[in-house]
Amino acid sequence: MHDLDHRIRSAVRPLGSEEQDDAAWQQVAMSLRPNESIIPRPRRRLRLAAAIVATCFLLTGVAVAAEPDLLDRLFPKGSDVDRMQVMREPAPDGAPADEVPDAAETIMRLQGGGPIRLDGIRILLTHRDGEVNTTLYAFPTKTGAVCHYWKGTFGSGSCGDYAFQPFDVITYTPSFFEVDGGWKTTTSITGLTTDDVVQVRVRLADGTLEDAVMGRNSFLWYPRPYDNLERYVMSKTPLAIPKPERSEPAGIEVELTDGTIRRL
Amino acid sequence: MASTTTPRGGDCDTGIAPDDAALIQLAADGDERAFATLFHRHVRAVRGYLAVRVGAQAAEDLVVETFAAAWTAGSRFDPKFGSARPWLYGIATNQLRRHRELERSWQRSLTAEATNDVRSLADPPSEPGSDPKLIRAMTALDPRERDVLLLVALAELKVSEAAVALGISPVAARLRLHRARRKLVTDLRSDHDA
Repeated sequence: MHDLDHRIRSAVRPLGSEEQDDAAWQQVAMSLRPNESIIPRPRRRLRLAAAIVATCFLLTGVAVAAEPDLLDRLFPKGSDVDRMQVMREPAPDGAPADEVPDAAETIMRLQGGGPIRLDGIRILLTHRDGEVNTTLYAFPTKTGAVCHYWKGTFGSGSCGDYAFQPFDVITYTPSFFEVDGGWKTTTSITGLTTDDVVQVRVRLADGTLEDAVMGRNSFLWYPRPYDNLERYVMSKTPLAIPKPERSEPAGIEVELTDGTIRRL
Repeated sequence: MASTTTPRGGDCDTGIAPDDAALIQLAADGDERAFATLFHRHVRAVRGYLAVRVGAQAAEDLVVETFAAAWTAGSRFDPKFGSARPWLYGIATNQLRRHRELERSWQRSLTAEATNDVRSLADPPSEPGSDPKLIRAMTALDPRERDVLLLVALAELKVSEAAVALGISPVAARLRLHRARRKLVTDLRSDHDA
């Protein structure tokens, strides 16, 4: 083991007293009971935030309100997953195991999705831009979750509500990819959608809207140009990732089948 | 889920402490006592980890949020992990990522203390770690580098596992770990030389 690791492990010692533990447990225990919770759960906290935002908009006369249930449409899980055609369809015959990206199993496990059901893998979207080929997959897991995983230059994924909570949408990183290249970070956005979503648009900081690439029950947005990030992380000397042509994401708009537009 | 008891040890009926996976399985079925046992088994380690990152006071809030999130995610815990501690560190790290401002203010306060009274940092009464020089050096790291370092050093995740826990590439994780270690060693050496 690395000496430094040992020193860190020795330095970060357990902390607390019985009284402290009991007080913390009382708070945790209360948060486990929805009706008595004093710690807002993420979804509740988001709804609270949305209500505050909506109130502010109303007060300022702007007829726009964030719809809490929009998150169920964008990042379906639990019973929301039943509203995804791609998951209702019979699993494709003999889905080859080698279609499962190498890191996907580990990601799903670490992010709480559990082991992947190899017989249920679905490809939601394939997209090519320049030298970067992106594939978006959905995986049912043996614990009943549905996770998605996207493979571009590298890969990342998300399962339900553990690694990426719905309120991450507010910061526009529901699923993102960070790369150090001259200390820059680049953000992409991807997620699942229910059947009643026809288009996802990303609102940029300069006020313009950009259509996300839509797949089967899924969407993908990435900053242009779609650079091959591998060259930056593999470089022996730090390289700065070029500044995207457009400004940073500042919001999401979703068009539903009935023509209404919801915003986050 | 009406119980508010806080069992601290293992299973009193059998005298055998159930392993974490068993406790999480029971908790996933709604057994609050099992979750309480898991809580008491790991809460001080998680609190120590969080306190180094955000200070003891803010750590208390994040402890609650971490275990509340663990309760929600427990049904999807993979027993292959064995101990729940790395898993809990991972959840705590995710909570920290959402509360970066806490960490920044903790760093600012440490920096301010260092400016005003270097001695107070050498032996501060509320310092959560037992190695203040190391803790101070760690607070100076980029949070993203610190995430990888602590997940590897403390949670004992492999670099590749830390990478997936943080949603970054293994190469990026390795780079961050390398930078973090290099900065720490340099910092500690210059501290020693001074």
